Amino acid sequence: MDEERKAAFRNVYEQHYGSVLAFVLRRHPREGAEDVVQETFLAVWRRFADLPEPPLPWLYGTARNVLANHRRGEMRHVALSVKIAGTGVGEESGPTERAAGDPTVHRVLAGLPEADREILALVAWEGLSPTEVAAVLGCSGATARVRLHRARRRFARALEEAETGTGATTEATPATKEGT
Amino acid sequence: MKTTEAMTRLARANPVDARALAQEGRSPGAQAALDRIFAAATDPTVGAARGGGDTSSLKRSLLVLATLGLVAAAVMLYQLPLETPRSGQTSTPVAETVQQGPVDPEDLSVAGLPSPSDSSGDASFLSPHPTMTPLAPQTYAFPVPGSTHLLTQVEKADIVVLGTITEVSPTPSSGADDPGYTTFLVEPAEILLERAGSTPAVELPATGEGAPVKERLVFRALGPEVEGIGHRGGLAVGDQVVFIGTRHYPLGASSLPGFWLPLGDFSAYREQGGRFRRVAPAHEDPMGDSFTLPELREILAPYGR
Repeated sequence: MDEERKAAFRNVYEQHYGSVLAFVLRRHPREGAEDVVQETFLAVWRRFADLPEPPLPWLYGTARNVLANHRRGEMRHVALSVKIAGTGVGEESGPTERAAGDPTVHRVLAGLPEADREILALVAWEGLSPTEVAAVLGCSGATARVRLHRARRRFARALEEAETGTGATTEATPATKEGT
Repeated sequence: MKTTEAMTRLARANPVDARALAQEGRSPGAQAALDRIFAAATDPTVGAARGGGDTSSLKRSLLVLATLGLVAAAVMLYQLPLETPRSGQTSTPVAETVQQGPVDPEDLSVAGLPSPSDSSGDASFLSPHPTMTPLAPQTYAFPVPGSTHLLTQVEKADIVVLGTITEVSPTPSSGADDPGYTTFLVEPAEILLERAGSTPAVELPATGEGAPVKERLVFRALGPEVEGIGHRGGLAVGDQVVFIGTRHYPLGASSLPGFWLPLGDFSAYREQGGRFRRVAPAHEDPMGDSFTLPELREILAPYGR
């Protein structure tokens, strides 16, 4: 085993494990989250030489797909969507999980299409740029920018409507896929 | 409602405290899992997390992949015209389309990462993926995606200070492996955020007899030899600034007392016309590159002081 390669991987692992775990915890119950993270890193280890720099978007993208596989494999509905505090989706508190700070925000977010929720969370919670979001979602940067622009606009509008009590909560039907 | 305001509120509503997980990779559980990953690499029958990794699942995966590949090819052919840029727009750079991604762990070899040779005739796959450069085993701040974002920086900062630069001292590089750094002394007007456990690194300047002694915070930034970080960006004595610092020293630096501006001029905001503007604009920061002091206070409010 190439010790240098192992050392490099260990460095990536230790540096990004927490970020990937946080990513998973936002989308999956605490139970089993570590398994998803470890499966993600196993996949990365097997193709470590191909890992691009910066690696984090790729780690997120791989974790996202591991989550999807878990959902399919377990044959039960674990929402592969942003975990919405206060809505009961994937809720299971842990020491690192905060109480829902702004129930209106979570309620509005829950009302958005899944594609919107995901891209908004990648930007607001994972702190990714549109180019990095594109790497996670496997689309072009231009597509990611367009989706983000629309999602932000819908979210802001829905949040305003929710707080002023005007109109429908969202302009799109919840949980529908958005085409771009 | 402005989208920036909505996004700020969303960022605050983050249900998971990633900062609390930052060291999780070094926990005994994670280290044990790492050993299992290495073991799995030498023995394909050993799984990483739960002893899985059976070959039947791989065969199943390949079958699914082949089916999906046919479907995907058909869908891509159908969708191609939708991706065509409008007239007057530039084409999407190849570098972006390369990011087809960290795809399915059911992908070839249960890997999850695409191979440069996974071309399937798609030009976007033909560009070589940049090979990762092994990183030195150093502690460093947060040179991670999105780290130029204001909210990300705030989330990971040890200190956010409003103050005035009173001294700028570049320390030149001493060799190929030393990028050099620049030290800024800042007379704080207000510590806007200070994480629990952080001890402000202060320097007491030599003063004339009887002159008041004022504490000054020490900040350092790499460079300017390191590309993209550490450039002083014209910061000078007398500038009113907001510095977002961390105690962790960046890659290529050594441990010195004081705070680091982990991304140099991306972590520094200079007052101009009533707004604090990022010294180096981060074009992709969805939150924008400037703020007023009240706006910053609002952003920091959930974190306390």
